[in-house]
Amino acid sequence: MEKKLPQVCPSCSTHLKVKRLSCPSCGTEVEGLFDFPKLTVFTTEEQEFIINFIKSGGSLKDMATIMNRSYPSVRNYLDGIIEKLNKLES
Amino acid sequence: MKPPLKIWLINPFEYISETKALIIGIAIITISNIINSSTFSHFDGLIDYHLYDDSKFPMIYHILESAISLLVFSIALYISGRLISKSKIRFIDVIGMQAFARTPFLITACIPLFYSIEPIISYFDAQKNNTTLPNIPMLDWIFFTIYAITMLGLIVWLVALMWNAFKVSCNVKGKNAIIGFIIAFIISDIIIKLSLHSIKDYFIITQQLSSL
Repeated sequence: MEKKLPQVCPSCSTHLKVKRLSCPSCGTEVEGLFDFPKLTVFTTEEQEFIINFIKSGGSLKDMATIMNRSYPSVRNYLDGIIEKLNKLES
Repeated sequence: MKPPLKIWLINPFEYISETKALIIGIAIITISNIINSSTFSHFDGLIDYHLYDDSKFPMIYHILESAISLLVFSIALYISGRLISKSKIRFIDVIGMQAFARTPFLITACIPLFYSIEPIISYFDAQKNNTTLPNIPMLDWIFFTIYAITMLGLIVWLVALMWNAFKVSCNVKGKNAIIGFIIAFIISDIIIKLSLHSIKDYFIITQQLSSL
């Protein structure tokens, strides 16, 4: 089973931060308070969309073919991601 | 994965748009108009469907009715979408989806091929003119009730498709979208009715002149 990366505190719903990172090769550990990368706020489906969108050179037409959806529905999906990103930045 | 039938019936616009939707829509409208010209029926408004028993209109008149209706409503929705939506909307999507949304027209146009409401119309006409009422068998009333319910269902389906087409093509939702759709609907219906009235008069005058 794939483990989901928790984004918010299950107790108070505050956005979580990364406290510890470790190297799987030598076992070195780094401790501190690090922000999550922006992309992690998106769902797995949205992240896949973003990756495919970049791979297709930002072509909505190609994305429509990949997703087997109409052009406007793909554009609307992208607009939803942009809106989410804008909300996060503001 | 193939979309479920419910999606195809109510919101096919998640899967079909642009030129493909426009071509299919125009094909549906054209076939409907060919049938209409043989049954003396007209789509003379956004969601209007009437039988003209007074005169036969040429095919071009039926085409004009649908073309004006589609064009005016698409322009109105495009303007409404541009005012409401933050997305970069395209006219080809709006008109293509609106053309495809007219799919119920095909079923509406086919109904007179199998069922005629002429006896019921003559009954209501006689009632209005205070003349002797024709005898309508009970079965005809049952068929008429089924006809009326079917027509009502087709109108609801048509409006649902138009609304979903607007939502997807313009990326709009919420209260503003509903208001924008209603305003576009009312304004375009008025423009369509006025335009068709003038064109109808022109065709009637032309027919009268040619018969002289």
